[in-house]
Amino acid sequence: MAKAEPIVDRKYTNLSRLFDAKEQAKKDRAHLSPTEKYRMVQRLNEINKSLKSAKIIKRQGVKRG
Amino acid sequence: MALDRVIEIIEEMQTNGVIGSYALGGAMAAAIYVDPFPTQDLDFFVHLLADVSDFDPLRPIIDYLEPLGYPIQGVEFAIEGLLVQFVPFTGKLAEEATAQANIVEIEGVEVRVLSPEYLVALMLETNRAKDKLRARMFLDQDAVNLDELNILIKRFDLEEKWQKLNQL
Repeated sequence: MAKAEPIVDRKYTNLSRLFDAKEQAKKDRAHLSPTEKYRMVQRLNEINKSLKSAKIIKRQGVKRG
Repeated sequence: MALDRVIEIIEEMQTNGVIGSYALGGAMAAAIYVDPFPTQDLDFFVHLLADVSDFDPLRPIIDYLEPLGYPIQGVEFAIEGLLVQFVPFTGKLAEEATAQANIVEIEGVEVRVLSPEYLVALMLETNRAKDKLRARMFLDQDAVNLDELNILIKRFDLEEKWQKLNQL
């Protein structure tokens, strides 16, 4: 009889398929038109600018045990 | 700012029981602590509350976002012009990193963001070439508390990968 999977592991997902699909999506985006790519980069640059002015208001640190 | 709307939608997913905890990770989170590096999307680590299949791990999120007009495109969702990826927990480290996330104010919006120490530990865990380069940036720019990072390295058995990173 197959050994039952421990319950604690059930909340974790094997994402290897998801990550493979993400790499594929990146390859697909390489074929976007220059205008579409420009717009995407512009939006991300805007966010990066906002991130630079970000303020940490609560820091929890690491769990020690 | 489109990020407001993304956070609003994620918090609605939390209120509606689709996800539990969440936090921004990946390159966008890193850009808060070190010089930004190229990325195309926002990665959110999420605790999925429903049992999911490894073949279709994002199903509860797809079912929630599609009727709102945000269908999945590949593995990401285009929300207000931003590509957003949801990454369910793959293990204990990602789960703990999300629970211990910093609260960061970004243009008036409070966002849960993975701390630099957990980001570096996750980079060590995944250990792809780009993760090693990024982890190195955190060290070179003094962006991590080394005492805290050492605690994670020991607790999550990352010593060997850590030693190799230090030889780069």
